[in-house]
Formats: sequence, C-alpha cells, structure tokens
Amino acid sequence: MSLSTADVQKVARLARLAMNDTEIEAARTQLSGIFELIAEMQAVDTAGIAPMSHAQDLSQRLREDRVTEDNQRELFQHIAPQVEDGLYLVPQVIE
Amino acid sequence: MFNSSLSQLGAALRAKKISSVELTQSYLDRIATHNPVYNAYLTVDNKASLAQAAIADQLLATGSAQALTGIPIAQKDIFCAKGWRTTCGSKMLADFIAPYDAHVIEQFNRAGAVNLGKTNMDEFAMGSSNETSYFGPVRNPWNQNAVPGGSSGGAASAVAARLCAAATGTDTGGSIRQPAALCGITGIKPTYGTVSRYGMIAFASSLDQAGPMARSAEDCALMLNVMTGFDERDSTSLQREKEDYSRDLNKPLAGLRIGLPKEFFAEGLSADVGARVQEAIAEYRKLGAVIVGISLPNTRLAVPVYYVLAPA
Repeated sequence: MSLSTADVQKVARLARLAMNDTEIEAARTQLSGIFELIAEMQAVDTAGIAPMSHAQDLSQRLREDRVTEDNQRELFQHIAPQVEDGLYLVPQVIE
Repeated sequence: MFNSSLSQLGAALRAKKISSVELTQSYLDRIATHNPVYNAYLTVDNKASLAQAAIADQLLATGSAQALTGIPIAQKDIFCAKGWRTTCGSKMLADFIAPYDAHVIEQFNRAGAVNLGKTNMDEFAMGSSNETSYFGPVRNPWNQNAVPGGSSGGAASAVAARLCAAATGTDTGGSIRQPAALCGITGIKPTYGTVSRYGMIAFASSLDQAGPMARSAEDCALMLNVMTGFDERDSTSLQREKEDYSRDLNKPLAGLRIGLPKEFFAEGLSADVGARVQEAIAEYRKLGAVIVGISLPNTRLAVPVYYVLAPA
C-alpha cells in the first residue's frame, strides 16, 4: 500500500502542518515506506509461534494502598512560567 | 591522567595522589576548552560538580570511599538530576530544572561519584546521528565532519575526547551501541530491567534501557556495578541478586565459543568496517576463542519490527 499526494495533504491539514509540494512528496515517500515495513512483516509465516508480550517474565507487583509521596506542589510549580493560587496559567488557545 | 582507567583513577584518589576537586577541575577546564567544538555537553555546572567533589574528598579522607567515589561521570541529558537543567535535547524542556533524581543519578550519588555535566543527545532520544538535538549537532572527536552517532552521541563524543572519565547513555534501538561504535569506545545495553528507568525520560518504555559508555569493558563493568539494582519505582525492574560485573574480567578466553551470525556479514557492510571486524575475530582466535558460524535467518526483519514497535 502506498499513499497518494492527496492522502498526505489531508493528514497535513488535520495535523495543522503547512507543507509545500516538495515536503509533501518527501513525507509521502517516507510514510509509504512505513507501510512497506509492515508488509515485510506480514509476509512472514508465524503459524505455530506463540505470541511474546514481553522480553521478561514479569508479573504485576502490587503494594498496599497508602500515601508514598509528599505533596511537593511548590517545588514542582517553582519552574513554571506562570502560576496563580497553586494553579498553572497557560495561554488561552480556545476562543 | 585523562587516559587513566576508572580503577587507576580510583586508586590515585584513594592514595591521595590527586583530590576529587583537582580531578573534577581538570575535566571542567578541558570541557571549557574543547566543548565549543564538540558540543558534547549541554549543561555544565562547575559549582555543583565541585561541591560534589568536595563531599567525595571527605569520604576519601575518612577511608569510606567506593570504587567510583570522586570520579567525574557525564550524565546523558535524559536523566533527571535534582537542581540540574534536564532538556532531553528538546526546546520544550530548555528551561526544565529537574525537581528530583533519577534512580541512576541516585546510584551514582550514593557511590560518591561526581556529576560532571549533562550530555547532548538527539531530541527525546529519537535519532541515530545527534543531528536532531535542538541544541545543535555533536561532533565526532575522530573527525569533526563526521557524526558521533546517536542518540547518546554527546556521551560517546565526551568519552572519546576524554571530556569525562566515563558516561551514561540510554539505548532503545541502538542508542548506546551505535554511537559507541562510531566513536571507538565501549558501550553496553544491559538486559532490559537491570537498570531502573525511574527518572529517565521515556521514548519506548518496554525497550528503553540505560547503560554505561566508557573506554573499556573493565570501566563498563565498574559503571554497571553502580547503575544496576532493583528499584520498586520501575514496574519492570528485575528482582534479582546484585552481581559483580567485574568478576570475569581476568578470565582467559581460551575455549570460549563466539557465534558469528552470517547475516551480519552480508550486503550493506562497508569493506573497511568488515576488515576491522575480521581483525578482531583473528585476535579472539589468537586468544584461544572458538569461532562458530551461525545463522539468524530473521535478522532482516529486526529493523522493520523495531520501526513499527518503537513509535507505537
């Protein structure tokens, strides 16, 4: 499967990326390459091979439900550009 | 001194031939001179490093020093280090001062090592050449027109240029091993789960692993002895006995079987690289190792699988 120029233009518009024709063509080639990688894998016969979810044989460690962290709000907000009454202030993006 | 191994530096420190403050200052001076060319470090904090060195000197004076006490280590800028700017090579974190230490940083602090600075890297560890860092590319000390590899390119360059005694890196799909190869140093991606990922900025959590980058296998072993260990804050941290990675360093290689996958010596291998690898194989043979030809037929699928899984 390979992408058309129109597909890439649509994805770019959805991602709010301004791309010229050269950039669209470069992205089209690279994105199509990803489909080729997937096709290469799909061509492999995996019948009879057990799925491996992880390299290690791990089980979920559980612990007692208790407070393990102190509230460090001031320390964490210390590096924020703008805070007010313990809240982060961010530029308005939605009118 | 800049060519000394970690064990030589440790011995010199414990014998009081040099203090950690002196050693750290020498490296800081060397960084000030050469870093403008290599761009291996993103952040250097002389005051913080020298304060740690002074504490190390107290440990050395009281005889409570460990193997790496007082030794200046460069930390990849992917590890949160309390009070240090931690950018991960990105403009987004250009002003981020980490409020806590990564487990790896804690381990080095406990060992009395000195944080010499934070090394450059591909942005969020996504890259293999160090050209994607927001803070500019890193130069390969062997050839300034060549890339150092990535994403731990700053660490590899710093070790190769002798701008630190040893360094940390992280590896998701080659980010320690590939820059180590390109800069002619030694790097190890440890078994997943051996080193805690706590405080290490994630790329692909089920593949990311921190490891040492140094000048020799011996130095890497000493670094691993500090970096590894169970940490309950990383849910994939392995619960197993602490090992001494230096225990087999003097074991003779006679009789050791080394497998050579034939798929690694195929299309795409540069003639000059292949020739150096053959020389290394000849050296192993001389040391008594047995070279066995093997086949890993699915090797060609490794890259497609990686590129689909890692960003997933």
